[in-house]
Amino acid sequence: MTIWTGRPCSKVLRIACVGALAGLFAPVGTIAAQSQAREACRTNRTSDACIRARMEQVSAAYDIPPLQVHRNAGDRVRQVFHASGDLPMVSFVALRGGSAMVTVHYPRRRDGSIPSPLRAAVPARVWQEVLALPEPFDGRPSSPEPGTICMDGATYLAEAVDPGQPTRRPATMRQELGHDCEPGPVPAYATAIAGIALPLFPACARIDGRSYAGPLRRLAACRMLRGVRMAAADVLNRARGFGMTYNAGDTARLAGLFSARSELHWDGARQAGDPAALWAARAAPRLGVTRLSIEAVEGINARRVRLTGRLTRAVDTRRGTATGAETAQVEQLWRRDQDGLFRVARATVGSWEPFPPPRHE
Amino acid sequence: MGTPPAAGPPNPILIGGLSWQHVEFGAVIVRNADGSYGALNDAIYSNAAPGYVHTPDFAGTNAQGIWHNHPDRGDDRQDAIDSYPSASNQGQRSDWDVLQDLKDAVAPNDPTFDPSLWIMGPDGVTREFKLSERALLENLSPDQMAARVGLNGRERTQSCD
Repeated sequence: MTIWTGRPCSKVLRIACVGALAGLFAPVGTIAAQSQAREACRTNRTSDACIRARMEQVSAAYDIPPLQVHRNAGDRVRQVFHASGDLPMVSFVALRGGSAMVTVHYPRRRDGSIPSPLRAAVPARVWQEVLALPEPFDGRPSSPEPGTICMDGATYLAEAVDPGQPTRRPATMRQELGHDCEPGPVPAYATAIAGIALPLFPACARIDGRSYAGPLRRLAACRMLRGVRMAAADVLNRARGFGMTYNAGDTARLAGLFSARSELHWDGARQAGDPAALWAARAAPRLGVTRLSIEAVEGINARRVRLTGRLTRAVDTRRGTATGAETAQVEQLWRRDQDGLFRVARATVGSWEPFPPPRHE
Repeated sequence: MGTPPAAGPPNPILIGGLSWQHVEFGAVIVRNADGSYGALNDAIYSNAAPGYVHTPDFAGTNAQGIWHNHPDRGDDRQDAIDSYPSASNQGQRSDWDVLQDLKDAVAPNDPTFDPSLWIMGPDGVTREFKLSERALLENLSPDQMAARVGLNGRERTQSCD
């Protein structure tokens, strides 16, 4: 789905330019953009209006300068947005006369705030690798593969700017939309860009790819890391053992995660006994599964890490009627033992409350 | 129309080295000649991708519904929302749209045909959603879905972890 090819006088460029600018400068643009996209795409998903609305919807989720700023400044840009709601966008930018930087921008939170981005310098050889990627800007509108059904999927918006050369050629901007369910080069380009960016953030690259599939998921999970981020990444990897609890005897995945002298405090009272068994017993759901959602992992230093999150479990209610979950706040203090592995030295769990908890925004 | 006894995969912890917690799998559920249920082509499909899955088309089959999973995105609110059929995003077809396509392809003129979406959520539990319930469930707000309104009683499997 080529939207424009950078010819300054083209009608398509003007339409897309205005649309993209509107989306990027609209702080409350996400909801409006969603509505516009839904309406514009109702009858024809390949129409200019639909594509323009989808671009606005994608870019409105982030807080970055419009592409035209870079074009006018003579910068070089390669970047990809994601419209999945939880994946970051990766932006490689070489300012005019400068070396390249990569920035990982996270989408707006539900309260409209913007998480802090990650930034790193890009070595020259890596920048050349980015520029050498096959570009996805010459694709054509496509339909799902015949004979298949596609479910779910994310939308991507790839963008590029190249500086012009005085008296020889103008600066160029390219944009291309893609979706996992529509054959085309953009999703692969998005994965490639993220794959090149990931090693430039060592703590993000340290996140276990078995727990977070693909470079984009690992960059997304990296948002949880704070402080001494390498240590925090080690704990994030270890803490996946707490991810699900099915019953009071479900201790196998907790084996080795508590230190010999771990303290477990639950609902204001210290629990005496084997902490893994106690954790499983107290976290056990009445039905289904209890899940630990990790909110932040902060490396206090290389040997001490604080993890905060929330346990959530279903509660039994009549079908189709009422709220069916409860939640409890969790804080774990992890320490690195002599064998180099982090273990929980102290865990504190609050009382069960109805889910979702009250918002404090 | 009965409920398949095992709409989820037979051993869904790891298929082809991939974990259901991290990538999507999908299958078209058909009714066999003997009245039992099974997966079209006796196969569960995956693109080894965390966010989407392709399955064979159900046109020309006697498909009764679609099973697929929504992987763990590591956020309890999102995980609750992902226990429901996915909504339209970016003008793309929602899970409900695909189910409507199935009805239109298999038995468009049979008012009693009410196909199912079996969604295995990030908690590993497969829940059943009927096409006739679309209007009710599709209008739930994200906050209502985060609170799991209307989820209980839909479980068709234990968690498969």
